[in-house]
Amino acid sequence: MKIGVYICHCGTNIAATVDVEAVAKFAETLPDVAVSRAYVYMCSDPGQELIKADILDAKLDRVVVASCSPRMHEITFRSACEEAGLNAYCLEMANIREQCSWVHSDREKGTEKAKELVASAVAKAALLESLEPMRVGVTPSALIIGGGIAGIQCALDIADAGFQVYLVEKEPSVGGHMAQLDKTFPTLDCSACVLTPKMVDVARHDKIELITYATVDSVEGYVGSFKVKVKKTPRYVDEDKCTGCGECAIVCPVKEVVPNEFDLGLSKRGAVYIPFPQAIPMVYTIDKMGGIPPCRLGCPANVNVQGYVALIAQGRYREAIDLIREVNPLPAICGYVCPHPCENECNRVEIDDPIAIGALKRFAADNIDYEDETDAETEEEDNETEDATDVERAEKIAIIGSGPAGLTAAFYLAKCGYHVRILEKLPVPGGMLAVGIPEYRLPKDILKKEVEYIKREGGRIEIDTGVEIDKDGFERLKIDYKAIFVSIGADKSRAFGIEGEGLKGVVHGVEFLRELNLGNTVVPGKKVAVVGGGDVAIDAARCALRLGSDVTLVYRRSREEMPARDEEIADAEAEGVKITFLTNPSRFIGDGFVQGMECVKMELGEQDGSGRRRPVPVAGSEYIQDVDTVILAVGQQSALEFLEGSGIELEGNRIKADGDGRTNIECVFAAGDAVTGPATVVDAIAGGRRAAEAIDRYLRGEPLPELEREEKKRIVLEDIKARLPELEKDERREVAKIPAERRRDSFEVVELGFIEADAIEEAKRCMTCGICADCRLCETACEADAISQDMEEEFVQLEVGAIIAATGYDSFDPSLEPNYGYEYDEVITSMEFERLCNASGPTNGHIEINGETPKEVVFISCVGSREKYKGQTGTGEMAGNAYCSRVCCMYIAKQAHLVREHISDANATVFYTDVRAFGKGFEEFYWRVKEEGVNYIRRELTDDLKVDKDGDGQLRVKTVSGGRQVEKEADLVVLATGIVPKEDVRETARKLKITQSGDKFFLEAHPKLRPVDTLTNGIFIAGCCQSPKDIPDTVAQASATASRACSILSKEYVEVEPITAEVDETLCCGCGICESVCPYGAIEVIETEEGRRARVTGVKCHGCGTCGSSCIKKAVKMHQFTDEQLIAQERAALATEKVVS
Amino acid sequence: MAEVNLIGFMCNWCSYAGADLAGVSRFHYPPNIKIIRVMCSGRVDPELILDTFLYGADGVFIGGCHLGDCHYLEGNYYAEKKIEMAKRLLEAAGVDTERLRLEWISASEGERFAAIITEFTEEIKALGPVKSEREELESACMAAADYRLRILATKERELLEGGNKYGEVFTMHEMAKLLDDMVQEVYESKRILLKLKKPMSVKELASAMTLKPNEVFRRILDLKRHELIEIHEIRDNTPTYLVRALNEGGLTE
Repeated sequence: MKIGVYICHCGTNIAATVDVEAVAKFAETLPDVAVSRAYVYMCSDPGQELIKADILDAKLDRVVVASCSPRMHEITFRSACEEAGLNAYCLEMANIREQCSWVHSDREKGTEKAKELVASAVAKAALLESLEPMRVGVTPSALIIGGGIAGIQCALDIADAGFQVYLVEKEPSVGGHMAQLDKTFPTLDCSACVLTPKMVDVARHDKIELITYATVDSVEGYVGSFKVKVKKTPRYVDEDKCTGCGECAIVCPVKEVVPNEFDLGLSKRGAVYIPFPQAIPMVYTIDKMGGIPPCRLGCPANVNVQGYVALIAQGRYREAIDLIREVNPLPAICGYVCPHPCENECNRVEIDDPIAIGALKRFAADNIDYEDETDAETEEEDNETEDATDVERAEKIAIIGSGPAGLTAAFYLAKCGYHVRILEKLPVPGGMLAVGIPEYRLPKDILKKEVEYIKREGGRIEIDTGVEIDKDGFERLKIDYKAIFVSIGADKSRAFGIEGEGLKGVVHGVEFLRELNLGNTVVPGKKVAVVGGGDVAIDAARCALRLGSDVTLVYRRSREEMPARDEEIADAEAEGVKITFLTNPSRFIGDGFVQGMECVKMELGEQDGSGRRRPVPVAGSEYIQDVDTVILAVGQQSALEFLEGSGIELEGNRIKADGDGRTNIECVFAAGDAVTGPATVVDAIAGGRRAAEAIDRYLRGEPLPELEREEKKRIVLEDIKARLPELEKDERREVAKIPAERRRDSFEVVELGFIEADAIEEAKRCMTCGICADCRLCETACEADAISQDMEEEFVQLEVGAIIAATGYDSFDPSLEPNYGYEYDEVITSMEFERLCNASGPTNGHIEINGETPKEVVFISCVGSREKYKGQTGTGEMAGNAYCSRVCCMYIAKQAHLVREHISDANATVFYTDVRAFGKGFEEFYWRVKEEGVNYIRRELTDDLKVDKDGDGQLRVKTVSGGRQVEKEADLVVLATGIVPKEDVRETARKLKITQSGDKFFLEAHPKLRPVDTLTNGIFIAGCCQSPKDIPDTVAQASATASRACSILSKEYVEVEPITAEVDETLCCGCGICESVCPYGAIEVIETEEGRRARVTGVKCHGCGTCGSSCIKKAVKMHQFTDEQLIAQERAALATEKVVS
Repeated sequence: MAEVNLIGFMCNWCSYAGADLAGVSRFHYPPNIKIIRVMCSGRVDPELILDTFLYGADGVFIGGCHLGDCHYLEGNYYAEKKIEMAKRLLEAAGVDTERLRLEWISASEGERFAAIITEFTEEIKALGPVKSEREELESACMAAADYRLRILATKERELLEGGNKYGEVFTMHEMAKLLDDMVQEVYESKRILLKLKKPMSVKELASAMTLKPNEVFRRILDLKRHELIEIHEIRDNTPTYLVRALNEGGLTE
């Protein structure tokens, strides 16, 4: 073994602190050292020649160079060895510059340490082995992350060199920040005018594949052969089909509700949008929150509440009603009587009050002409696929009962093409809608027009009234019809079961209301007692009152437990109904006719099965109330006698059916109150529609899909706050009611409904929780058939040889430093100012704040930058960065010029610290702006600066200049916010396994010599993700990066260092611990003839050596860092005699 | 203060680069530390650390990338566990565990690198040279090479997070107990092996190692079962033992 040792002076860099000659002399004494020399610059040609000559002449086997860091010149010296015929991996370096001479000042100690480092390196060198680099084929394509000007330039350069490029952009369009700028300094070119042609080129280039609205999910592999997984966010629009015509945006009801990201929230956009007029690709994007709005989740019938409220806000009432009718054919009725559970769920509850959804629905239904459905029909004819009524089906279906469940089922079944016959025992259709709900809540003509609509639009619906089905009739139906739907409701009063119930004058609430609603003469007495606490009790009481009676309602529990709606109870009381709580009748007294009601006081005991406290009679509290009429409203049930013997399974007084309305008999379905017990109209509608679907599937012989029981993600207020941070209070518009006095003798509708202006205002209070309302009007409007509402997240696998990160920057958030007064409307950031100046911006290029044109405009430099001194923020805290953002001085000059260009009589003042006008034409431009009359006021960064409003409401900038207090009034303050690393910079760095510098920007491999490389081979950086820079520098750097990437892509293969693990199979016991720790799956335990053995796949191994330190048999050899080498190194470094101070 | 010998094992991507940056930026620190480059802190074997102490280091410093930033994804998590194991062994050998330090230093933290090394050097200087006997360190070094401790050091993460083969997840406390017991057992066994280079009785061993005779006897039985020692002779009804092999050849898993 012959080792040559070479000690470098590095000029005086090493020699000043290390006695290099002494080290060289010392090295001669080390084992196996054949040659030891010191030379002034080992990396120079003569230095390298020295090594080469010795290898050849002295027949060296190993070389040790003690100089700078191996991270600097290892490659240089490896090449030198190779050129002289010695294997490149027979070189070891001792780092006596970065880790010795530069960090120590004591020459004696420095020399000793250098000796130890050399001894250590020599010991390792003696154990080095010859290794052959691995060759990896290069995939001749590149991935560029980020579609700003840096990414665009890189993409074009690489693609022009003939390589395939994948350009991945997170936003829906490429363009980045440059697209947001109005003009560029110092030439005052229009930013978009110079950028958009390049954007178009990128889109057109046949070697560039643009992947927008997508992010890099993971990166695996190594230089020449990276495997990249790209996650495409669903844009719900097929990019290949969309022509950018914008028809979708026209029909979309969600307009101007989302802060427009491109305009930094200065304008609002809709749910379907393009970010800006020149966007590339020119395709629309639908913004969905990924969840279901709570109102829709709260609706038993799953009505798209957000959708129709949005349409109402647009004054599009017919479309709103059509949207409701997709799942609920009775929008008007629901508008009048639905207890709107949706409102209870509304996210606005947490801010003020829920949207008046019920009243809005009624308003929309009241404001369309039910007779004139021509609009809707024309639309349907246009769209052939929609028109299901054209399909005629032979099967006939019978429906028993024409309540909401029956009507709903009939409507959707008829739409499917079936012939439906509804059998109704009453003389009028509508069930409880017709005879249960009083006129003052639901006018008869509303019911009539909805029933007419169902008959007309459904077609093929026959309603036979006055037909009562008995046992035989039911059996006959089973023969005549393919399916039967039982929706008979619950209209039979439950008996009370006390003495005197049979007296004349004691009637049941349901029957009382039925007679009244059927127009029969009903004359209650003067003194009416209503017993019960539900909706029927309240309805009966209010009706009796309207018929001129004095009405007392008796309820056995307290008000809290009363099942009737609070609003109804309040209305009843307002009208004059007296309510006696905690009281129950114990018998009715009379002789033929009822004359009195004995009542007993109750108190609340323990909770019963319903969770309410059970009322218990108070002994001895009986009293007699003088009455001439008693209306009992203590519960209803279904009249199920006709089903006796039919074999249909019952559950108490209800029909047993599942969520899809299926009973135990295949052809018999049931829903509504007959299944659920007395419930709401919307519950019955929901049941009717689900049953209709089940019937259709049954008749077509298709299996029913699993009921959607999976929990849909509910959109909560927190989700909305993420996009609408400022949610202001806005009181709910209430609907007017006719005065209580007028209600006493009239059955007029109590609620008057919205006037149009209020309705629209109220609808606009909706926070559009889901953003996209999922109304699917865009699907109908899109002629290119590009909308795909069910699109899902998609992953694309790419194979590339090189990766370029051009991920850009964020602007400093000035709200982090409250002294700048960013909370005021008149204080904006420089980027917001760019949008204000821009012709396609939120103000069409007029610089104005809340409609006012400012006359005094003040710019403040270095916001979030150069914060070496804590005084700057005035808070003693440093939220910003130490570095200079490099572009602010010049854009301030540009913007100050633009102020005077846009507003000729405005003054522009700049508070600056230094003006850094270092680029080509910059200084000249700065002087030009100054000469135009822009007032530059210098201040020190150490001095406090404050922007605030005094008592007079005037905005003032206060600071110190030239040792004096300065105060400047302003109409507009523009903060020159600095450049900060992208929010997700760390995540990106981790994915790419590249490093960040102290300022968190990506770290270049060498600040001078490898400014666009990273420490990870094959990954490069370009633009502001590396450090703040202006557009010319960014473009220049991007081209440099492209050229570096091409130097890899143009090769057939790249050489990868053979620093990999290898398993000595004679030692391996096959335990697999190495396999378990390898992060790359490079080790596999396989069956061999000798038993189970671990084996390393060389190319997959990245050389970390964790397997080596984990192997229980020490069978893993980590090449270039073997156990023996490391131990030799450590022992040799410790072996030298110490100089003891 | 006494001059001390320090060895640093630095990962190529973060700490070694951080050391280079300290140099480029001329942030000074004391010259006691000699840095040895490894590709990843996960490469650093407890046995290597113990060997470094055995051969005269007064302090060993391991530098890795910040957690989550490892160039090799999770090498530094393994490093953390391996260094804990090395610390337990140092403690067994009577070496102050402060002498072994693990720090995460990134490539951009040159100034911090210099500050930490300065601090570490001062701390070790205050402690002075290692006072443990060579035999104690050698026992610890052999223990670090023992398959049982190597398995535990590597599998600790897995056992804490995913549980063992039977799905039993260990709590931190249980794990610590298990490690303590195992380290003690292996370390004592290795020391007995070293002592038995010349024949000794249980009593003699117990007094030399300041252990209870029954504890020594348990280890002796164990070692004998593994055929690592044999009975040398029986004097006055007392057997003396002698080592057969220092390494447990032919171990079975």
